[in-house]
Amino acid sequence: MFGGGTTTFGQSTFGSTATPTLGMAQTTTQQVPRDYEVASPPDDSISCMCFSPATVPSIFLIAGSWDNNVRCWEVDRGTAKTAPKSMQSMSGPILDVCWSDDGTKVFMASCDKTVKCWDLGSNQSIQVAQHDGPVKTCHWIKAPNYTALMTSSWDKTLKFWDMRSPNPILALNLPERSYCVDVEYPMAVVGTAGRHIVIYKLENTPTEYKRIESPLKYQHRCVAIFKDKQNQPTGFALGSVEGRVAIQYVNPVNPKDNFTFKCHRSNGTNQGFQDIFAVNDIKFHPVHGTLATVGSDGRYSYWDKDVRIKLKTSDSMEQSITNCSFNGDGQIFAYSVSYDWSKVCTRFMGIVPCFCFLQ
Amino acid sequence: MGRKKKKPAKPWCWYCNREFEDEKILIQHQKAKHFKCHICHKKLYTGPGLIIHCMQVHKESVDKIPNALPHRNNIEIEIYGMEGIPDADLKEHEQQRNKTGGNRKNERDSDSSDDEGVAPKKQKVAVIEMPLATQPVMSMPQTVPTMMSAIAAMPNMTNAGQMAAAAAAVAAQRMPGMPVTVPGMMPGGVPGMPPNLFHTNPFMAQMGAQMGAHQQGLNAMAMQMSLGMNMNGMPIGNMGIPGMIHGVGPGFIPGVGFAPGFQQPQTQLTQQSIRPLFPSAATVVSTMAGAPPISNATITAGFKPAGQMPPTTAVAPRPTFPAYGGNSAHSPLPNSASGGGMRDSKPSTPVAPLVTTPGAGSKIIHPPEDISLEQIRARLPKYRQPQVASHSISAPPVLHTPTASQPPVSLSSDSTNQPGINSPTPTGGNQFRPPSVTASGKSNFCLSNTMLFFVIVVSFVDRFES
Repeated sequence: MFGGGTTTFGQSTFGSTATPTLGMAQTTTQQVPRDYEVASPPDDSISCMCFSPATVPSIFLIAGSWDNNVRCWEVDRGTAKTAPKSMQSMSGPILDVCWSDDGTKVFMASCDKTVKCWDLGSNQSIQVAQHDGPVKTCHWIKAPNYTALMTSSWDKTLKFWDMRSPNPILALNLPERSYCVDVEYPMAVVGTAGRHIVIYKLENTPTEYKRIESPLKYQHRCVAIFKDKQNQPTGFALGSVEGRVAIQYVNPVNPKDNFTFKCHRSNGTNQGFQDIFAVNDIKFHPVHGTLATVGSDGRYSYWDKDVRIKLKTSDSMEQSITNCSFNGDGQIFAYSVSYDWSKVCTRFMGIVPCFCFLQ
Repeated sequence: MGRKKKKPAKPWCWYCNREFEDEKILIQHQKAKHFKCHICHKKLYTGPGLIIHCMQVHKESVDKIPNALPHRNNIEIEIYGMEGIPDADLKEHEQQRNKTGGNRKNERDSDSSDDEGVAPKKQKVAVIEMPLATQPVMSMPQTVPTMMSAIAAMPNMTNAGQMAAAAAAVAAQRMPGMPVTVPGMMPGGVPGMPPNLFHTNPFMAQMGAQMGAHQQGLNAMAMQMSLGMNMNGMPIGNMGIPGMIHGVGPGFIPGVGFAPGFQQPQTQLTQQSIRPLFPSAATVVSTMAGAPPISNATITAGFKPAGQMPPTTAVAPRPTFPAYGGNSAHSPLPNSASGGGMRDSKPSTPVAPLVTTPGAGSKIIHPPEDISLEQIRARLPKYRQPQVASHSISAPPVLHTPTASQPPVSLSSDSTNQPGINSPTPTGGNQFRPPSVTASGKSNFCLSNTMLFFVIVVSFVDRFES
């Protein structure tokens, strides 16, 4: 399925990396939808990943893994080759990674309750944040009047750090454990356990802006902010473990603008039974505003939320897709195939009935 | 066995073959059972009306009438009460009715079994099961010994027939008519059998597990057959068997119509006071409907045409055993069986308070506990131990001073720095692999292979652009 990555793919069209334009995309037709495997993947499941911001000329991909390491690859747009670049470790599994806006640093949030800043230039890392529980997310915020690292944790707090002080410049309480966060200045959305959604306004001093009743009935798993035509964040897509994504506007003009759609479910071929998989990640295309979802069913799909259609679904991978990411100009989409623990239950369930049975 | 004797034929529901005392009630039933919109619960007046409603209001197409027998779920036919029923079906019903009517006249009048006296006629499946369980008890005391003997044989029982008989007997015990047998039989037969049977007798095991609908159907068939035998044929002889034969095809799986149609209405009927004779009987009957394996089977079968996934197996045993086991124990589950399909899917919720409960006919692939996958995973010992190997791999000196003011270093300044991202690829490549092993401490944990892919999003862009 993933034929040799180095063959003739799109050399002509993607040759000039300097000025990638959409025109190129059109010259290459769909006959070559081919996925390239990244060299030297981690040993354990990938928990998070992120492309370098568009400000960096080359394309770097970082991915955090349950093996406590964060790896960095350089992706060559022309040859579709990936070159491992460097790696950093922490003392616990990595739960999130993010870039600083200038692409010089990477932040790594870990189960060891800390966040470290990895300076790619010096290849050194220092601790920049501390929580009372594993840190689930970290996001770099670049505001006109401040820059900060925002971290959220299972200790039910949201904290902002300036990289210099050992104490947060601001700490906010969350209603529950943080499960998913997205930031698009000046807006931040936090999805927590207990199906809470809290929206923050980041201008000046970050403040809670609104709590929204969840449009979904099951555990929140991923969230991604989308923007309106003026390039301002206007709403978010929220994914749940029940194979469903909600498109929610913060201030919907028309209540009907909000909707949910099902995804990542089996076709009911399993004896008429439908398996429903978790939506593991959602990302919006930086240019077109379409979105990609990935699920425990091992598929990724592209959607257009405005037209409300599915654009494309991949074949099923042999394992779950845990994460995905678009690069800065939206020409590369990366996804990680690894075990996400969702199947714990199926085995578990396999046992339980037997047990009941013998009782 | 006269033709069309006493009653001028009760009104009956074409969709599920149930009979009612009164056409008004029939219409109520149809509105509640067959013409109710599953989305907004609005009750429509006819099948086509429902379809149009769903299409226009909810933009959903409905391809069959809910809770109807498979061969009667046609959405085109307009039925309102007894109006609109095709002639052929009317005739068939009449015949069916007469056939069963002959045998059972006495029971029907005397023994409660309002519902169950009724149910059997309308539906083949029901015919098979209910009468067997109830008739003997009610009308023919002599059969009891037969059953008793069957049960006596249980401990070393090897064939399904006996088992079935036992099952029936047990079911029968629930009838109010025979309180005495209950204590006697239970201890003897029940406790002993599950283990033995299920281990030694594949047939039964299957039955217990209620594998796919089909098998189930067969099993149930067989069970009933053998039951019939054990019972000396009795009335079953002429009415049961034909029914069964019918049942095999479309008739059997019809559990659909049976379960929902059966149970719910019962309550209606009882309030209706049709059966003052055995007030308790009504309730017992209803539990019976839920409890005995057969009816459950049909329920499951009906709802999940091919339910043999774990949930089904999970559910099935529950009602099965409680039914044998004790009066008190069974009540919660079997009742719930009236919930129809829903039941099946939630066996997976043994543990946690907040569990993900899937809807009917589906299953969420997620651990039962309502906490995130990451949290579950992070609890594992493997990930919990803080690992000492927290060193940065390629750069020896690591500043672990959180407080140290570290003004951001810009990329430009460090191009001359230590080996890092700007260093030539070879070093990067070298650094990469080995450390990952040492750092994680256990090189081969690897839940199979992790892979990282990327796609050039041509097609995406393309489609979007165009």
